[in-house]
Amino acid sequence: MSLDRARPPAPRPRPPVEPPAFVRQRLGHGLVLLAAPRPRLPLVRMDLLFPTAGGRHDPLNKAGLATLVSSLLDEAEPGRTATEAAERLGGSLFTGATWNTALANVTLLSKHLPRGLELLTRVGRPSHVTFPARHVARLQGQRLAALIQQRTDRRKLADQHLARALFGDTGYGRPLHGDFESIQGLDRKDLVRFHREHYRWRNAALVAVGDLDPSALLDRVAEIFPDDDAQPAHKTPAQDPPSTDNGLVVVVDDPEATHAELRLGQLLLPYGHADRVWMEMTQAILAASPTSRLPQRLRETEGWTYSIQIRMPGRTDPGPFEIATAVPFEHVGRAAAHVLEETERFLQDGPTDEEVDGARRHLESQFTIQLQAIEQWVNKLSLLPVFELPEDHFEHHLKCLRSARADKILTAARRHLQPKRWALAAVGPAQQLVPQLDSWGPVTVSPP
Amino acid sequence: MDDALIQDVETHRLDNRLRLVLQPDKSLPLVATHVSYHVGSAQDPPGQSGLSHLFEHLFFLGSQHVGPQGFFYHLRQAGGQANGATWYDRTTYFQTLPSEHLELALWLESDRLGFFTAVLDPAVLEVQRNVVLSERRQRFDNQPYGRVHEHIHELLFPPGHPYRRPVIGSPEDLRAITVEDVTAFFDAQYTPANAVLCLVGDFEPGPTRELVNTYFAPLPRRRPPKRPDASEPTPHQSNVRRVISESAGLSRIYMGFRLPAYGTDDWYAADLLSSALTAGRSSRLHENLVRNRQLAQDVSSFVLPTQLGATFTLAVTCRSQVEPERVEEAMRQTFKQIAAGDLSPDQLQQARDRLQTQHYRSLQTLEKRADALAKAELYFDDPGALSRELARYGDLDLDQVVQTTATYLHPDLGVTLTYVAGSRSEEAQP
Repeated sequence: MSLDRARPPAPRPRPPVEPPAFVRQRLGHGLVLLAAPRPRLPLVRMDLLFPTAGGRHDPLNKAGLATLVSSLLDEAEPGRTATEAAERLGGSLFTGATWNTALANVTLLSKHLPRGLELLTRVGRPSHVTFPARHVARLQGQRLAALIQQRTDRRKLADQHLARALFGDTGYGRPLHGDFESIQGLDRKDLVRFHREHYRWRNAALVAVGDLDPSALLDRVAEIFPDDDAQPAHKTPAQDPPSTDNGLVVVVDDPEATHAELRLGQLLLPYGHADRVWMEMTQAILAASPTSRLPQRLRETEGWTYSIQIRMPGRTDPGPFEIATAVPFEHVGRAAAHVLEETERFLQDGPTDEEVDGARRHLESQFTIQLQAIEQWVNKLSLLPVFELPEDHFEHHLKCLRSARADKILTAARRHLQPKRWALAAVGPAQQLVPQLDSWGPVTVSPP
Repeated sequence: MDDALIQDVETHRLDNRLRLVLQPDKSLPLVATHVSYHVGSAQDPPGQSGLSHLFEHLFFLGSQHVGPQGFFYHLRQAGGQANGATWYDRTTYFQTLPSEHLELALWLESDRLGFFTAVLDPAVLEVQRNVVLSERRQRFDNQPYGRVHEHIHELLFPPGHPYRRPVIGSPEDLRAITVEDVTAFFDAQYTPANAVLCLVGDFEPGPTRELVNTYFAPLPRRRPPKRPDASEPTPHQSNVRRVISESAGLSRIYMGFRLPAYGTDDWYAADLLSSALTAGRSSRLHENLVRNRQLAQDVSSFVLPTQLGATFTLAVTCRSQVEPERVEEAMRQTFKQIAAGDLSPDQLQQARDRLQTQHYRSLQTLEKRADALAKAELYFDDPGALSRELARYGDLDLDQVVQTTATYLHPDLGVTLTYVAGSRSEEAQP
């Protein structure tokens, strides 16, 4: 074969991108099972999800309640915990909560699958949780210590202050893990009540991926998951976030910082919104690769930052669109201005065909890249019950990507992105940052 | 051992001494291409700490035929992703992309190995120098406990040792690096004989070998660089301490020790002990310090897989209101107890079982598997060494772990670094 280094080689024929194959079934008491066999390795991962028990369901003034309840799921009974039992088998068990769901998951060698199911039943079975007072006090103490630690993490501080600016005192504006006041104010009765109202089989899902037989798993699940709970969980109504009509600017004054953490953002869409796919294309064009518009400007041209990314974490209600970067103090104002300018130019001119092509290929291959590990499969399949998506969601998503055009992306981006109304949060010495940012709007200076 | 993850691996060596590792895996239409160069911060010349890492940044900026900024442009249009990592002993470059673009990856990698310096100029260097200085501030200087490895290595290794300087480099050294320094570094270290190319994914081995030959065989054979001195480490004797006050919310204590190199029985014994001490909520230190006595917020430990001698680091974060001295004493007691034989077979077996599950979990993605196979080939001339790692842990008995602890991890042999919550200051105690 002769070699011409001057031009890139042509690709081989392109195989179609396939959605993941899985089995979905609802049991008598409402639990939904999603299972996908991946027999290459002797591993299995199972996640038990309670989408009505995530952080968005925290009552007002009780921020952190959902995550505290979820971390206590394995502290219910005297004796050895389920986590210890899983670890004795060489595996791991975790309980916790995100904004969208509470969960317990177990990862084990597949020969231990039956035992893993039993352990999940043990931590997830609603009637078994008792919340012994000494465990509640111990985990409350641990949470308060974690909050002390978090106060010095400048990246988290920037994230939290942007969330507060975007969502105000609604659920997503309060910290997922609570604050000193809310955690100290919780007592055992709050935990018991939250658990009783939000943890129900009827609203739960079990997602299992790995070296398993879906039909055998279904039989086993029907057998061991008790039918003792027919009530639906309490559902929190959709939240009305505040309007950020003018750019809110928050500077967290930290004279000991050596670099400024910078966040810009606005409210966007609920995860299940039809335009999300076009906003993902916008995200890819603006920031997915070092040659995307924002990294090209701030990193490869100016040399100001190591990383700049756009995050659109999925939420049941309208979630955030966040631009996150870190730059030297003296460049904070110009960095924010560059981000604004690049975004407005995108909204003015739209993407080029070459950008659309690159973004489509990026998202299609990311779809496949994110199906390599069983944990990634579980995360992908979990989207269906958590966001109440239809069974053909993945086919539809891939079909949209294949049909992507510049005008569809631009129309959606113009409909949803409003850079003039962005909120901004920065962490660093206020004396240096405030004069660079006061043209955005009134600046609030906050202690760390 | 029956290890499905590393079946069908084949190795080859080109005439220019480039090593090739192939593992077909058709489970998804993807391919991972990985190139490991046997050069890391240990080879940074005196006064140029951070050069190997700065070079990693520059190596993505294009090459003669690919053109300036062409590397990421072509990769993006193909739907691929890429990154690099600089370690003490090696620098890795990895891509995952749709398998129909395998040849594109070979074009990009061979062009920068053969024709990199064509795109290098002072302006390009200056931008990436600033990016790296930003990276240092963002990832290390501006993070709670962010410079811990820099401190620990400074305390553990004597002046002049290749592991004493930080991988990211000092700001002063970074600012002094010139285009000529970069070119000399590339000429000395980036040779086919100093590299392993590993491909894992959806391809046929025969035609892929031919493609690799087409792109890489024309690159001239050059003398491999001299390796740094790999003399065996001796245990540290001075019981060095350093106390740092900084605005971390909770105090944290690190104890560091030197160990024999990655690949030795002592290294595996220390890694097994590390898992038994801190991996999971039922590990010895989590159960004792976090759950039962409530002295600690969290515990962690790790053993660096380095070639010129390794390190073992144990970190314990104190609960608020708990004196760091109490926690440090508990850490010291743990090592003393284990050195005296206080370790149960159950604790060790649980650690082995956990490492087995971790082994499978960590090698699921093509990229991670390519990295692990390339590392085994680079360090041991044998990618099969990866499959024998679990057996190495299984072969160790209780006495060997106790013996390794007594020889290398006795508290009087280590260094202690204490972060005390407060304002920034630093105090060294010999």
